[in-house]
Amino acid sequence: MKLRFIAIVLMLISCSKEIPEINNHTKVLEFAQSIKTENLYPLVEKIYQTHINDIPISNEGFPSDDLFPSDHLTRSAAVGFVAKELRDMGYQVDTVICGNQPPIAYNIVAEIKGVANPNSVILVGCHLDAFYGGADDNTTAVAAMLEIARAARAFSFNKTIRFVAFDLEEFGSLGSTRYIEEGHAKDVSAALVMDLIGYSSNQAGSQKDVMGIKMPSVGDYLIVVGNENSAELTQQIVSFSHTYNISKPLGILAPHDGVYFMSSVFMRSDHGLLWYKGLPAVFFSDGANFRNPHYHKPTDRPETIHQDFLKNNTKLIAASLAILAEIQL
Amino acid sequence: MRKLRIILTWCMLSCTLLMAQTNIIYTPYLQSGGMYFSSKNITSAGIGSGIGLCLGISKYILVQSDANIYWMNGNAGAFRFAIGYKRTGRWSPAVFTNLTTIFGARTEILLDDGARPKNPALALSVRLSPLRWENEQGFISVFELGYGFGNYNAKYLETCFLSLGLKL
Repeated sequence: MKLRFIAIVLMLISCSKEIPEINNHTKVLEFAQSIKTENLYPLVEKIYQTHINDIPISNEGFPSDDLFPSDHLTRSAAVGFVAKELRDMGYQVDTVICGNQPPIAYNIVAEIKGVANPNSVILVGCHLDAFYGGADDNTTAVAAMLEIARAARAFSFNKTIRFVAFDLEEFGSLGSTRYIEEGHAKDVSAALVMDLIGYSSNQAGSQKDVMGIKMPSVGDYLIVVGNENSAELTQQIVSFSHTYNISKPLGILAPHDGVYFMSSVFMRSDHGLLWYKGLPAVFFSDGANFRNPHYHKPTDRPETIHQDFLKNNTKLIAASLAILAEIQL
Repeated sequence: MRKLRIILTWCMLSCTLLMAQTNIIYTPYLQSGGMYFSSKNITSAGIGSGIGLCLGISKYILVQSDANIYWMNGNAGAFRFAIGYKRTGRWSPAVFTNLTTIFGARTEILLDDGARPKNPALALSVRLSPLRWENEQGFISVFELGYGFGNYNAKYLETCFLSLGLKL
């Protein structure tokens, strides 16, 4: 009895879990290196212009002194742009229309079928709607997803990869919520979701603490957030980046499924409902309004994006996808 | 290393004091309060309640041990072991030094190589109980405040809204 008690105490004290091994390091790295970083910034500029030239969603029904969330929110032209880009890469593109009353969400979906385990789907998602031009929020993530989708055409994966550009995230994650609730994500086994991945600063104090959670004050890192369901994957991503010096991630694990008062701030994007449903999902972000002073403002312009930061982050997200979808030799 | 030496010395002193006594007054108590453990790798926080045992080992010296559960960032638990000095009389303010182990749900920032920070978190703190009254039946204490430090360069804040004990 005494021995059992001592064993339990020792287990509790030494409860630091090992990081799971990553198979096929070389191929994962090769995929990450296949990202053409020179493609990214021109994509950011193009998508930014697409938003700027688009007609904002109607504010009808909102009081004139409180237009949020529809004040200069655009998405229609971006829906068309993303669909065309994916189609030009050779993908069969579906527009999954969600909801039967305005605002209707138009989610753009494209897939690469898995070779060994096609029924296991890895979702790579980001939202395509934006306030004003939305260079960081969320043009950087859309550009990263498109470039990863282009690079993925040259590789094979055991699991199916599904790229989804969600509509109306700024409208309370309406696009992803409806997509999941209407059963389109039933076959999804895990997800990688990006929201703002291009703003960094070397200034001390540029990164604010998040809901009482102490953060390193120099905002020059990519926040990689998981919960208990995606803890091992989050650890693998941080470890892989550390080993090969790909990017500068800060791995955060929210407690349990993450749906608590303090950690709920980390659910503020299209992965939120996946966490709530118990699916493993990892979220990538530059800290949004806790770092970027241009967040949801007309000043969120391409020249505020740190290009090297965006390039390295895109490579890390590509590597994460290769780990999760089990890239083939 | 210096922190560990302080903790070990403090534990040895507490045990020596306890073992030297024969006329110990046992007072089980309930308490409600909150805690906030904030370090560069671990954030654990919440509001909750706990149950404990207070040993009056002399007119002035108290030893307390309690188990607490907190809610706000998941379900976090804390075991607190404290040694305190109190004033005699009905109004009996006290000061405690506490060693607290904090476990359960928390937000973690991974180490650079992806490893998770160790569990449980440890904190050493000082708690002031200025509004504490005691008589033959038991004690009541309101608005206790504690401050200390912990592993991973943590600062540790604790508060007790109400603590109520009945002497056996």
